[in-house]
Amino acid sequence: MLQMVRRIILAIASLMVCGCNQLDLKGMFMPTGEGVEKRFEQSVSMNSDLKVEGVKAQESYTFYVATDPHVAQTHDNLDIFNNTLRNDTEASFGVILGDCIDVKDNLPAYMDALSYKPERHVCNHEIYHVLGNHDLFFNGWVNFKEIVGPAVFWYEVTFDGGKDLYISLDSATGSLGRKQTDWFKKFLAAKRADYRHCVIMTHTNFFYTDGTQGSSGNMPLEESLTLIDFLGRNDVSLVLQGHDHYREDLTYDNVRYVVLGAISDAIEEPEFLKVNVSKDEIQLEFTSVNQ
Amino acid sequence: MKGLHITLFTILLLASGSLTLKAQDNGLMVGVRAGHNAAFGGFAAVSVEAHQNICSDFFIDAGLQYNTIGKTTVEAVPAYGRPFDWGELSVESVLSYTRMTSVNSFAAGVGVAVDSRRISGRLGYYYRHFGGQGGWINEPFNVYYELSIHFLKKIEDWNLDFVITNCEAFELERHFQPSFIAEGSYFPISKFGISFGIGCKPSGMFNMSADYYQTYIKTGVCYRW
Repeated sequence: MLQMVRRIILAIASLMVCGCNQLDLKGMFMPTGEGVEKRFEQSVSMNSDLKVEGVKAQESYTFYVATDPHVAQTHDNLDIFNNTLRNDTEASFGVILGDCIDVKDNLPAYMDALSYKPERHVCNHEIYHVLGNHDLFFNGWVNFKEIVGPAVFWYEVTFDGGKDLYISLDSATGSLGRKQTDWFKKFLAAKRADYRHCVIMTHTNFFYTDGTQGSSGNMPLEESLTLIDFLGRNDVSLVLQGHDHYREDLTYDNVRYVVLGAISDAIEEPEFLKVNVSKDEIQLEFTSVNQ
Repeated sequence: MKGLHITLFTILLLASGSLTLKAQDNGLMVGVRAGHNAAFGGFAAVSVEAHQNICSDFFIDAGLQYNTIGKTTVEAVPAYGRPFDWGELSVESVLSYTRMTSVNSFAAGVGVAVDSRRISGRLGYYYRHFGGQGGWINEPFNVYYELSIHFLKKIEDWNLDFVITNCEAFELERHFQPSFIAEGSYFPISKFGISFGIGCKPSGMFNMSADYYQTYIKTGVCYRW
């Protein structure tokens, strides 16, 4: 009996130490790289006011969103997303909501898959990238910050007579952390009145309504409760999330919370989202990649 | 708001509560905890917990906690238990209400608990319903669990346990959000004792990118009869 327990412990320990290129088993139980506080500090050090270059658009405009491409050996669905976005002259920009890669050190392949290819694409739209938990596997933050950039940032979409606010939050390890939370609360409370719509982009989910998350995880409950109260009080228009791989679309306190289904090649029903923003509303078109 | 916090704190200190340290005893405990939370910073909490035997096999654990992160929680766990040669088996219900900011959270569940000399555990299902003026959200797919290893059961006045749980008192969490706790109690005289413990809770665990979320120490004064 004791020998069997020893063998099981040894096997688990070996897996945690070695893992493989895909699952960072050690990271399931303990941090394998910088925590969220350090990542926020480093995002600030890259860009002190966390503002990145925005987009100029019409008063009504369109952007595309996909999540969880988990790029490994193939990225066919991500190619479809990229082609659709970059050949839509009405579109203004694209967003990927995290879990960009599924294999260690695969970020260059992901960036290449999403790049502008003049022979195939009409428009060189900006694509914004949110950090996901898989992107942190094997201390992946080192690559992410170097190749992609900060994990926390905001930008404006400006048009004649107004502007909209977009904020990307780092929830890749299941919590925003103290520094990011403090920054976010002060920033949004101070800035919200200057903008028409406000869209929050983050990876990890606020709610656990349908059991599809399994063990993938949400934010801790008390953090979820505090944030949904804060987002409601500050008239946030839309919260875009990834992570779960299954669509969820609900409204709480006049804030629409959308979990977008994954676009990974391993998913049976991959999808992306076309968002039409106008003066009075934000309209969502969920689009199946299999169509 | 600060006045309300002080009032609640005072009420809790004056209120009576208890914690069972022996299943057959009625008990009362006033506890405090202090710690650090990754999202909220430093925090302190005060609680009262009670264990009351209703009749031969029925008993109830109940308590109330105020946490300076702005959270107030009331919990009750009525249970029916029977002794066996190896320990005790009970069927329980878990009822919890939390108020945090403007959001109310209700949870109700059922489960079983076993308690033996060296190990005890709880396993059950609960349903959470939370919201307020902004609407209501249901989380119907929750499991609660607790596994305790008792290190000092042979010593009458001491308890020392290691616990993995997502249903620690006043912290009924989603199943992928466990806490790890080392806790104990010491009764220098038969009716009065102290409890103590340290705990930590990671975020993102099983989420495949774990991070630090919360650590705390706790202590309490117990009275049993």
